[in-house]
Amino acid sequence: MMNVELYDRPGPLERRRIRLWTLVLAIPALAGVIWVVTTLREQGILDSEAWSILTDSEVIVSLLTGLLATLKVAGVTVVLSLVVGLLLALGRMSELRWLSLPTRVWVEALRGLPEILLVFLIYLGVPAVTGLNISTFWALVVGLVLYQSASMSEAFRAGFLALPKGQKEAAVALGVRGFKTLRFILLPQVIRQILPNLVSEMVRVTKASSLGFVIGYTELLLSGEQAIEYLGGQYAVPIFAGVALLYVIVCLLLSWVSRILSERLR
Amino acid sequence: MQATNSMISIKGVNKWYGSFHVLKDIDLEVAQGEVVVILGPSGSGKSTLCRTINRLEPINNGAISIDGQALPEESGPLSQLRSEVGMVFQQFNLFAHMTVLENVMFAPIQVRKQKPAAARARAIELLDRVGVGAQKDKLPSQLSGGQQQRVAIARALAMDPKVMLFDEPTSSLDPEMIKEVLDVIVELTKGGMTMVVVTHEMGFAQTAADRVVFMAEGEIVEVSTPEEFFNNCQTERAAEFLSKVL
Repeated sequence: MMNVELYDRPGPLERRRIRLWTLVLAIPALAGVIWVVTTLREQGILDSEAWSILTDSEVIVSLLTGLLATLKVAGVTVVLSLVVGLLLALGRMSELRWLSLPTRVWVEALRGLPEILLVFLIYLGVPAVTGLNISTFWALVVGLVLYQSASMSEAFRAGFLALPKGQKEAAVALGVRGFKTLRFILLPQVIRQILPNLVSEMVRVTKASSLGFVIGYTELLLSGEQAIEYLGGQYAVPIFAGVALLYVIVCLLLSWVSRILSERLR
Repeated sequence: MQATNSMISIKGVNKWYGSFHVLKDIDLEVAQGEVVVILGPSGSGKSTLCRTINRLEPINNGAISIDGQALPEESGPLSQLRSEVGMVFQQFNLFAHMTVLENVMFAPIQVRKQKPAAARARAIELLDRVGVGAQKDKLPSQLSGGQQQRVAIARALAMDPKVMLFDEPTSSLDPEMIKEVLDVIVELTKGGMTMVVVTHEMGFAQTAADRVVFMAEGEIVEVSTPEEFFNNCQTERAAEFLSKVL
């Protein structure tokens, strides 16, 4: 890791002061940890019996099924948002005002709306307006894509704006047509540039897919909740902890993949 | 001038940036095989003029044609024409995500539909010719400025252009690298390439130019041979410019 030297190297006096403050702050921190552990223990939440529920095969299957549903929503949402987001970014950067202005309004408006509102709007609004039923899966995906594509379009746009103008000029001067310039010269560089952003957007989508909970799409969070309802409240903490662990694992995997990708792309 | 073998013809060209008149009634003919060097103080419009020739900068009125063909308005034919006009930029503008070799092969394959093997062989030949063959698998960022600019020249030559435009090709180079790039450009002038070179290198203008065009404040002030321009210039503005740079 790169070491960002924000501060000067401490002198002897400062080092002593740092040691003192470390000690002073460590005491309440330690006390806090002890308090949490004893409280949990008194409430019987740390009992190994409750936690052993996480080794129960039915619970595992149920949570993994939920995880799969989460990944399905997240995967489809990410792919659609990337495509729509790129189109929105290109629209907003267009020199045609009838295209750039509406796109801009659309993006700004959608980025300002809570995702849960969009999900509800699709889930309840589409049947109300069209009379067609929409599955919870697609209601969730469309709701999330509405927000996420607007958000990703801004990431794309920032990437395009950060590219030196000369890259496009050099391609154009060689007689390369617009689409090929975009596809072979600009886009590869933009994607490399905004990869960290795109991964954090993917992490966001994964977490936001838990909104499936409110419309009854059985993803990871809801399957945890259903397991607790079935087994009883004393299992809430272990099961939610298991759910949390799965979310964290997915997100860590995403970061890991992005690190490998950006190293490969240099 | 010679209307019969004129390669670049610029007639009555005007351009404004907002209310700023960058190019004022520019007329210039460049004959086939001729090397024209454009000199002038910064802000005189010489770079802009160079960039209008392949329409990287659109003009407000006037007419430009290359090899008898007017610059097309439609993007398809315009791209076609640009592919026959090589351009070298001040900032090199190599494609940052491609290796040196890929930079040179890209347009021949994508625009000219050459077979990759043929494009590769030609690219290696050109890279050797400009003296950077050994760097072919590196990324542009791993090269010195002088090496990058020589790659950029090879990239333009790979399209077998009728005309080469150089827009201040040595202005962002460290002094010790200017010569290696100028040597490559001088070598090209001997091959009979039609060239327009915008530069601040007076030595280059003196030795390599067939004609010198002196611009100031968006106008062509003086056009003459290098000997005449550097020894016996006709206008006060040119004299003032030369007194500062020589």
